[in-house]
Amino acid sequence: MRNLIGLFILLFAGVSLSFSEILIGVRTATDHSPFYVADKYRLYEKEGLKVEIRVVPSNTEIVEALKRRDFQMGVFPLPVAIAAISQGVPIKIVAMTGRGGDGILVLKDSEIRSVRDLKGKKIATIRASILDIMLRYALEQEGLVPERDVKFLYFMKLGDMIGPLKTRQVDACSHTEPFLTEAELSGWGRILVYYNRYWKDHPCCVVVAHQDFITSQPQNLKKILKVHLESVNYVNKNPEDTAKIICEYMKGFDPTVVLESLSIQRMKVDYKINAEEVLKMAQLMKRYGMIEEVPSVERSLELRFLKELTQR
Amino acid sequence: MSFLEVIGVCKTFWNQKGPLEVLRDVSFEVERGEFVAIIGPSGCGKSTLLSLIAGFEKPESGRILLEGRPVNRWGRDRVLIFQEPLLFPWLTVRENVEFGLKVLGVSKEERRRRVKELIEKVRLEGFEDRYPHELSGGMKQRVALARALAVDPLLLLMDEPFASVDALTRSHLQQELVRIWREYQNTIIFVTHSLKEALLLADRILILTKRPAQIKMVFKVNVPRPREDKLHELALLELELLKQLES
Amino acid sequence: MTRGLKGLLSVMVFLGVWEFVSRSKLIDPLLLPPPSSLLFRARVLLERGDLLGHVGASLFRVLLGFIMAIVVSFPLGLLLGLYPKVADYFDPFLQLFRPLAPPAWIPLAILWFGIGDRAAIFIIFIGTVFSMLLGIMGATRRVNKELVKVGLTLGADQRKAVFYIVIPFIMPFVFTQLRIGLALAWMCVVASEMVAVERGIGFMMMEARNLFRTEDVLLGMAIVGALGYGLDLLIRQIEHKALKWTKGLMVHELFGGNRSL
Repeated sequence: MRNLIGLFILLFAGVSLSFSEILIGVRTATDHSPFYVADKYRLYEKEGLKVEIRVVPSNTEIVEALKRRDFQMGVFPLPVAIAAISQGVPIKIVAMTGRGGDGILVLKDSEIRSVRDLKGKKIATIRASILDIMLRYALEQEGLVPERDVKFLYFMKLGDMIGPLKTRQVDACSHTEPFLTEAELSGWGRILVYYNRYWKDHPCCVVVAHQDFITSQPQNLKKILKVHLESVNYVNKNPEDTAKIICEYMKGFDPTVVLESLSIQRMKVDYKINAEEVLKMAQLMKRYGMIEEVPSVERSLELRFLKELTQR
Repeated sequence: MSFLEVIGVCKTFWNQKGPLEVLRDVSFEVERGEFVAIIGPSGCGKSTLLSLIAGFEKPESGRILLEGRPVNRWGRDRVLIFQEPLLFPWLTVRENVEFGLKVLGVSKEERRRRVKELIEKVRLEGFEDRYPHELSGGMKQRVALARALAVDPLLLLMDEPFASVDALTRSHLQQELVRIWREYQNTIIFVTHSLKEALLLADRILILTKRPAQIKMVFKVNVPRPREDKLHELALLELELLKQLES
Repeated sequence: MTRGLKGLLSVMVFLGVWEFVSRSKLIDPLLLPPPSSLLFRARVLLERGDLLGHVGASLFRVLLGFIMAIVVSFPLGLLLGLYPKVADYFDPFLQLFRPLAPPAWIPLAILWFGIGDRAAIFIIFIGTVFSMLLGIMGATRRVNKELVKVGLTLGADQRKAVFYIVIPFIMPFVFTQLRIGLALAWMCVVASEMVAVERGIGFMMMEARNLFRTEDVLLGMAIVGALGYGLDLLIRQIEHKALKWTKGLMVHELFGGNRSL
């Protein structure tokens, strides 16, 4: 009889343990590296958590999984988070993971030397993404009118834009690391400008959590963010190791290229975030017709966990 | 030189079970303006013979000459009329009849004139704008006849054209055919399995044997026309012929 | 009850149930917005002027791709149907390429035609042409040989036989193929607009997905459905006029009561 009870307890524990697994959706991107690091070195286990990092090909899929409550947390660009929140998806931004790392790419021998030269040219971008927003912002900062002075060509995936650039079907593309560095180091491309120039250290990817998860498992969320802080610090202190780990999760890139792309002038891995930059991004999105209303800070952000962790 | 000469024609078909000899050394002649009937047991090759004359098949050996010229392929000088009327379902009666004329490139007015004439001949006035599926079997055959006549064929080859029509309609159609033949003076080769029909219509009857077919007998019908009122005489002839055939 | 009324009734019931299910939160409205919000969105987009541009662009591509497919598949289908020996040479290609879904052609389309309209039209073309080709080929093979013989015996040569007999004979099948082909063309719209176009319903739907506007996605689907239905109706009208002669020959007149197409 005792053995039977023991078996039941074991079963129950096993079942409840698997139910208490937390899923975080991430993509293949260099600024998601803190999560690759945490996954590789089992940092969540050390906090007593069962966390699975799911690498997913597209941002929309992560949000849709959050909608269905298949994922509890996700990592994707800030504009995606703002758009989802403004459409009523019950998620909140809890931390940052990456800044910068995007810019305009042209062919090495292109006659385009400055952003002003883009007037009248064809530029490839991904509609309503951070690449789209920052491109328009950069153009405006240079005195150009986006829809009027430049022809936008919209693509679905990052990889789709490289071919047309190489075959000169577009004159430039708005792209991100590590593609930018790779183009430069391979010798065929030239980075015209990093968007950092117009908005230094602008937010790129953020960490979000489903409202239900925040309400029901605040302690676990805090532990996950603690791991995130440690991972971010690790990435910044150990770029070579990080570059190797990134290549394990992002197939098709060379560690040297990735290492170079992590250098500080190109992009920054960071956890700090503030309300002002989120609002600025949201206002740009409203101006460019991507959202109807700017969601309030209360609806978008939940920063108390981050504050608690960084106040030490 | 006769109008149509069929000389030593042999035809063999090949299928999975091996060769099927259908016609063996068939020879006969037809004069211009003659009405010849070909009769024989089922499957003996009557239709094949017509097909050869029409140019849809080639004989293994032998020749077929029309006005001294060899027959190579199909053409409107030898129009074949099938057992099924085979009217074009997407065309009206009028359009069916004028089909051959249209193919020839005849002008619209001329076509219209000819078609009107022919439709009157086959007594289908009022039905010009109907579609084939609105007609009875007998009417369809009349359209097929008009359609064939429209192109002024030298030779009309008719393959049991009245077989699928009821007795009363058949009688009417037979009378009309003879009437038209006498007026247009075409040459007609008429295949049938009915001795009665052959005796009623033809100047000469070619009787074929079982497969492989050969000419068993050629019989000249000496009964003067019109023959509709001489049915008694025809019946006697039929009996005599049957007796001759059995011997 | 007339046919149109029956259709309308079932659509209204469907919309009513959908509205209720979404509004009462039986299904999460985030996953399935109610039809009223779709209509609202449609009005907003119409006022902004975007919607007509999207519809026009997609319509243009579909029609062009579809017409190109007809222009290729009709004569080629006839040819391959009448000359099986030639068809044997084409057969491996047809069987190889037919199962390829339109998105598979995107990289090649961009390579050959560049990005934008031309590649999009090509994808619609390639998604439609194989089906129509096979259909017309099959229809040609099944032409009543005896009818052709009649034409030949009346003096038609091969060319005239094809134009005056084969083609009219296969017309009912061709119209069916046209309707199938048009549906296929619409199905390719979304895939075809993945090649860097600026406007289009498929493009609008993809943008909506990126911005999590589920109503726009559903609206796009509804528009494609409506346009497809409208064009199909047009073809049916033409078919009705052109195939007047088939009245009286249809099976459904025996079973389903007297009714036109």
